[in-house]
Amino acid sequence: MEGLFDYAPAIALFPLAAFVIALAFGPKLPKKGAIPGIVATAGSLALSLAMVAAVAGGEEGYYHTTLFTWAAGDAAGEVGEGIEFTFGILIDPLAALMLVIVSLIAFLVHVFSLEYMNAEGETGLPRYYAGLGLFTFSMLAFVYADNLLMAFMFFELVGLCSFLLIGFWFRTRSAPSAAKKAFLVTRFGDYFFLIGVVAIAATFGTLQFAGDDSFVAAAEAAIDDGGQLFGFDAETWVTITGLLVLGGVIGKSAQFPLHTWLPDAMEGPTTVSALIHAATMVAAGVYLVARMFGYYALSPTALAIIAFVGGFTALFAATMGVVKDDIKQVLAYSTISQYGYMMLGLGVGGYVAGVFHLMNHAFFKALLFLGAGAVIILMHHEQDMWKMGGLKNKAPVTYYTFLAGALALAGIIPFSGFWSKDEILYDALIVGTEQPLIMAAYAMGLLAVFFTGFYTFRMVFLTFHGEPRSDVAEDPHPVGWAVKFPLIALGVLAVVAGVANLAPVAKLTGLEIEFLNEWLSSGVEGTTYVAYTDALAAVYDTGYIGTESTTVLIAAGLSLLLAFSGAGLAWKLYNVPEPVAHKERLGSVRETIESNYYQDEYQVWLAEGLTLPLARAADRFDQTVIDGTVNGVSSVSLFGSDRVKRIQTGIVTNYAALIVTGFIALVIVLGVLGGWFL
Amino acid sequence: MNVPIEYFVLLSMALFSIGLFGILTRRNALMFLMSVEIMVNAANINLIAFALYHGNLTGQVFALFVMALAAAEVAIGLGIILVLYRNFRDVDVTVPTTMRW
Amino acid sequence: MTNGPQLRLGESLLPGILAVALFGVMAMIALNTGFADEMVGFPEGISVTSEIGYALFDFTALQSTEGSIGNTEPFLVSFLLVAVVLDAALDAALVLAKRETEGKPIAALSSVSTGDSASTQPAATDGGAEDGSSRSSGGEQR
Repeated sequence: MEGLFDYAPAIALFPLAAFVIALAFGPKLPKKGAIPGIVATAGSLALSLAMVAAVAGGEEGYYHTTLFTWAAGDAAGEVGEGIEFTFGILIDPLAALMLVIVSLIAFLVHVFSLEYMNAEGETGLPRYYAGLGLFTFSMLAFVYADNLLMAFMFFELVGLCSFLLIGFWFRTRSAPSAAKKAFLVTRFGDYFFLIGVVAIAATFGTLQFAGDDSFVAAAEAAIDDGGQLFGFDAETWVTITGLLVLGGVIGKSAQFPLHTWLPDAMEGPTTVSALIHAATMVAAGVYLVARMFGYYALSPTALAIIAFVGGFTALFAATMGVVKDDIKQVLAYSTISQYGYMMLGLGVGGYVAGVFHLMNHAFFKALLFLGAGAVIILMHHEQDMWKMGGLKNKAPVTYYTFLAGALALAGIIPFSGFWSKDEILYDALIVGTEQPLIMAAYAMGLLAVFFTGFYTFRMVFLTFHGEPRSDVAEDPHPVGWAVKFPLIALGVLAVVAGVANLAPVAKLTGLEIEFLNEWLSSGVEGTTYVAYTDALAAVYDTGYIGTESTTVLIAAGLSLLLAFSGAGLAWKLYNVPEPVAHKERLGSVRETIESNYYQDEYQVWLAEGLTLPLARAADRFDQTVIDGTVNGVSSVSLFGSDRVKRIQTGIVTNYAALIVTGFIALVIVLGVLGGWFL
Repeated sequence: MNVPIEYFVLLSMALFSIGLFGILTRRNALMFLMSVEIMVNAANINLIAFALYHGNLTGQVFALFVMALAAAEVAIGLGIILVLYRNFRDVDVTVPTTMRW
Repeated sequence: MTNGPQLRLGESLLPGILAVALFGVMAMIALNTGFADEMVGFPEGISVTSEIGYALFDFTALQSTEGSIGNTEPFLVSFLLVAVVLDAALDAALVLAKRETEGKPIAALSSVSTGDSASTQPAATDGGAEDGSSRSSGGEQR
């Protein structure tokens, strides 16, 4: 079993090979590069599953190796030895789980693309498959990175790939601008991430995620010492660096206020949206928080900020999803909202809950996006839900799988989304009973459940129920096996994935069925769930409403009640043969929500009203003062040398006279200084 | 034997300055060469005078070397003057002014 | 045209002030330097000339013990170097002085007459273009 780990690098290298093949030979290949991509991601999936088996069956329960050292410096950190920059692989239970998720989604997306892209006669397919391959490669390498710097590099590569794929239809007007926006907004967050990486490296002299020489262990030791780091308390400094890294997370995982890129990213192909939202780009941010959770666990402030941002984003995005007419836009806002939940879960110390939701969300969101892709194929590339309707009977496979995803997303028992969302809310609640800020975050998360239920079923009813509202909806385009197979596979997962951690059932019945909990409790010492629980005990007090059982029941009951009422409202309003828009009833709120709370406007204003004048002023300063100084120096020296060169007459006698003059002056100076004339 | 060293030094300086004067004021290349010779010999006087002053023969030996070098220098100098004349039909040092910016 | 050396007076003497000034400065320094009144001189009864000769050729054994220079081996090296330099100077002088006619080098000391001096070719070793007349006459002969 242990020998399997030697093949770990291949997990990421397969998609890289697919990228190279698609780029070099794509145009000549029968499916324009799809086959290498499918084979490579299938290989990655098989190897990832093997890694899970190896982690489960191995003695150590994890695998950590350094592949390549590309700089070993003597520069010491504030705490610790010389810094070494390496490429390494860390496969512990968390990474193995994520590897399976990513490679599975990537594989299914590749298969789906056969119909969504190839069959539609798109041009530029080699570029598309090359992008998918590189995207998968970057994400897989990011997942098993063993240090923060390597993680950062692949984090950036993921951002680049999203730029390439969102802008796939670069001849349209909106796609290139959406791609640029995604790139720039996430880059704004990554800027803080980079500073955070440098700060952590400079402080602790190591960037390793796990083990005794990890920065987490160093930070813990520094806090225990009670010393000062860069003039701050050790804990304050850990908070600062943690929040800097969190900047990258907020950008990538589309948390408020850097979420604006994500709805625009819908300009890319739907398959790409599925990959971005379920497994790669957006998941990268939350995964990073989970990866260095031990570090955040040292700082109550950082955790509280994560929780609050997550809770706020969950509610904020959910309200915006309510009024969207484009099926992909609804899904985009649901993604933001769901990642808010994950952040909330991680922020309140629900490490397992956050990872659990990350996993479930990957399945049901990939399912929903691919389902939306199938709907778009059915509708001949029409995305407006008001032009759909009545697809239920014409595309039953798509309908039932989509419904499974929707039920999971809305958090209806017993679909997977319910279990993980409930666990997050339960964790938030028990912490919230002691801390008002977390309680506020919990309340927002709870409220978002209602909106989630509402917009999800509004989408389902408008798309599949009622009477067809356009000609194409009467006679939809048929879909093939390449669409149905991924949908069915993901549909099954969306239904059953919750079994991985039936925490409420376990708490009520006392059965040992929290498999994910156990899974994440093994691995590298210090990065296990057990270790996190110990660390968090010092951070958060937890309290129950009555007993543990009643608390579990209250949390589950509340969220279920809200989910059902949201879904029920949608049922009442939209599950009619001829649904009409009810947005007008919202009055003035509608405009605010439809404009996405003017987030884009204020960010554009920030860019145009603040940054642009500032940049202009800086440019003017550069043009006048700096350039003026430089030009002035050069023109003075030009003018001076133009004058001085005239003493070079070419006449030997003058040169001799100059030399003699100089000599006399020298002798006089030396003589006066040395007292030769006295 | 009782002439103070200062006089030798002054003589040497005078010769040197005379040579320098020639270089600064004359335009004929041959005069230049002669002036340089005078300056070299001023140095020789210094060497010999101080050899006697310190009772050390090194100065005298050095003076011999300087003479040999002066001969070499004259050989080259005359060659240069020949070329100068061939190119400019003149030995006036102010005529060639190409050594300039 | 070849001009005899002419003594030029007037403004052209102006740079000479520098030489005079240099002399003044140096003389002041020399006079202010406290030299010892008595020269050490050489011991009685030795021939300075022969001592120099022995020193030049590093004949340590022949040098008088008193007032000898001592380790004189470097002088031998310098002597040889001077010989080489003189040789080089001679050769260089010949190279500089030779002139070319019809593309053939004519040695400066060649006994073969090349006609009157007016028709000698300017060696095109450097920027002789300043003197237009000699260039043009040379051009016709080629």
